[in-house]
Amino acid sequence: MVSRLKASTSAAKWLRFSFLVAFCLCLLVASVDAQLPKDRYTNGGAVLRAFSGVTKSPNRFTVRLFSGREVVALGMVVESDGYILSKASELNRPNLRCRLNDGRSYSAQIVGVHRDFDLALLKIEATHLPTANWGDAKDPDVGRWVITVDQDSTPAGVGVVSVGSRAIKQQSGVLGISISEVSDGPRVKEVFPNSGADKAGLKVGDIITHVAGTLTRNGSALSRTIKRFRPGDTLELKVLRDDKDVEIKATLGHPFTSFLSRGMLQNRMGGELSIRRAGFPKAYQHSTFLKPNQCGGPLVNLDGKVVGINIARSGRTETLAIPVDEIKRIIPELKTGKLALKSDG
Amino acid sequence: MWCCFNRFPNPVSDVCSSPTSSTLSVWCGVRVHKIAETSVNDEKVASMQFRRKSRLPDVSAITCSVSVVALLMISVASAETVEVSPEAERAFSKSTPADLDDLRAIENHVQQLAKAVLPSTVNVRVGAAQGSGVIVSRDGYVMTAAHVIGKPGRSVVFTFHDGKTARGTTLGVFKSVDAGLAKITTKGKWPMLEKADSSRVRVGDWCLATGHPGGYKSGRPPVVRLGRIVTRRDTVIQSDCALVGGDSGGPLLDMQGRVIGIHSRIGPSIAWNFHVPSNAFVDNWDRLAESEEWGRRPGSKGAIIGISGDDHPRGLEVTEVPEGYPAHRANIKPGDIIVELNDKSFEDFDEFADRIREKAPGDKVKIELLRSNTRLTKYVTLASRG
Repeated sequence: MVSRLKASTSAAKWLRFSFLVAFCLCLLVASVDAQLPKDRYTNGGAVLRAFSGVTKSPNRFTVRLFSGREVVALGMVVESDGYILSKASELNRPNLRCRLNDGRSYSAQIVGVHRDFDLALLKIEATHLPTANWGDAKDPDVGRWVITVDQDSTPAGVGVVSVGSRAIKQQSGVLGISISEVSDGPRVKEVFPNSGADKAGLKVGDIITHVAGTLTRNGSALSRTIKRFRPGDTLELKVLRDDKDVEIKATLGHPFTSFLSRGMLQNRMGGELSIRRAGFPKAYQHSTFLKPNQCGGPLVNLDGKVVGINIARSGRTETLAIPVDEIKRIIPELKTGKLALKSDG
Repeated sequence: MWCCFNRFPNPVSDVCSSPTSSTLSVWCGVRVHKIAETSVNDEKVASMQFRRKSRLPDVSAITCSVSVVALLMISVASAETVEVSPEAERAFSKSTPADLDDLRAIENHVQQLAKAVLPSTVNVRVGAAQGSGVIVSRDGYVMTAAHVIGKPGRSVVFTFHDGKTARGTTLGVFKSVDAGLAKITTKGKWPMLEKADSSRVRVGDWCLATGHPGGYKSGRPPVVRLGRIVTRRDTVIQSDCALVGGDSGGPLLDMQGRVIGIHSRIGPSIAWNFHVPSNAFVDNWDRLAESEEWGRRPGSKGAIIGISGDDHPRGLEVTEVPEGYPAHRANIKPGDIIVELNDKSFEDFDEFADRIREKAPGDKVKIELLRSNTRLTKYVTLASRG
């Protein structure tokens, strides 16, 4: 084959040349109508690799919080003697463990929770830990890169600041049932699939007597009580089932999750959202695409300095972060323990 | 019907936020694009080439006349474009940013660009529906999406980034590509952006999206997203700037702050964001400005299967199966080669799409596929979008 090629005439060479030209033309045509390889998307591997110099230092104070084998949130070391900051509503899980960047793993205790900001301070029995390297207290400008750090050199995601800090309006949570009134109190008529009530095992026929320590004599008392809480809050319910008292813990969901509204459906196109994703007194918005369990960890700028903590994946176009000045103000409050986690808020 | 080429995934949902519509509108699949392309091509032959002269006061003319009067006025009369520094230019021209220097150059530029373009991004409210728009002339012509404004002659309230409002009216709509034009009638000189030649947009170009996702929210200026061009055709541009309801009509901008597209519709993947190319406006400017209404909005009924694929010698190769859609529920996977639909082979993806389109939501179809050389049969119940 090779020798035959070597013996080729000039005519054959010309043929080969024109074939080459035709081939190049094909490539040209193809490139006009090409699709960007996923690797080169804004959040694609090749682009993320350009940020690997940024993550090096913040990797050291970024932790992963586990329940069993599942990563429930990221977090960051804020004080060297074992204080970790993370997203509170993701941590209501059994056997919470904290894995440091060096691979060591510790049992984690919640010291305090700030309900409005959904921030939790955790304590692990470790000392001399590298701590968050704070950036400017001022919000990063709209259009600046923000990098979500995990424990790898490649960031969990990158985006730009979309909107400066503002209050993110409150939403109240729903249990996901319909009720009928009976003389004993509100009786569960329907349990909507995939709702908090469904997941908690609430059953048709249950009579709800208490919610979060409040007596619920009738339907309006029940809904009044629930409206005080937000999506993501876990409430203790006492129900009467077959004349026996049963205690149930149910996590409130969002309105419309079972009957997705148009807006909700669109917002979920492209990935799951955090359960608690609104009601923050102050947060700024960025465009990074994250999973809910990639929240709770540090958001840094190109200098590798912390400019916020990711507090929610809140829509198809948005992730929310709490600015540094608020974080710094809240940590001492959390440390006193006076804001300890309570299911009744 | 919803299924499509890998190179050109089909949008599923338009991104206008309309509280009055209880069902989700669909720009349906392959047929839509065929319609869209045909009509654009027809228009091109019939009029596009010849109707390019704009009735609009020409922006450059304004700039020239003003420049005679005073140098300062030029900056007032010219569009808000941001010069790209050599460093940024270098970073943008690479297939991906190479290092921290590139990232800083991009950041410095994007940060200035965002500031410059926000004043021209408006919220567009027509009756109970709202979307976004972008001002492209001093006297207040606003490019938006056809499905945001619906038809000519309706009254509009425009809300600016700072919460101020102006009144106006809807003009022409070119429905098959989803291009719509409106005009601010309140007197004033409005902050404007220039229109780019969208035929020169290249795959991989960086782009900025602004708009009002979720509708106008008091105290929240337009929302900024940075992304890249994923695909480009004459009738549609795809980017990875994530959009959602309320963004419709907002601008997709190049790195000089020129309008290259108008947000139109989205699909289930985060990178499925579709924009009307600016040339669809430029080439039809007179018709739009004269309140003409033409083209057909792609129907909103039809079944969805949820497959993105490429032509394959045996039929089609599945490239993406978004979660929650019928194909996903039937356990069809990327890499599968679909060879038969309802016991009949098909030529290519288009034929497969055509035959799916003949079905109704709820219909069960039989799909024969090859997975690692094993032949499998799958039954898929088509879903509806409503």
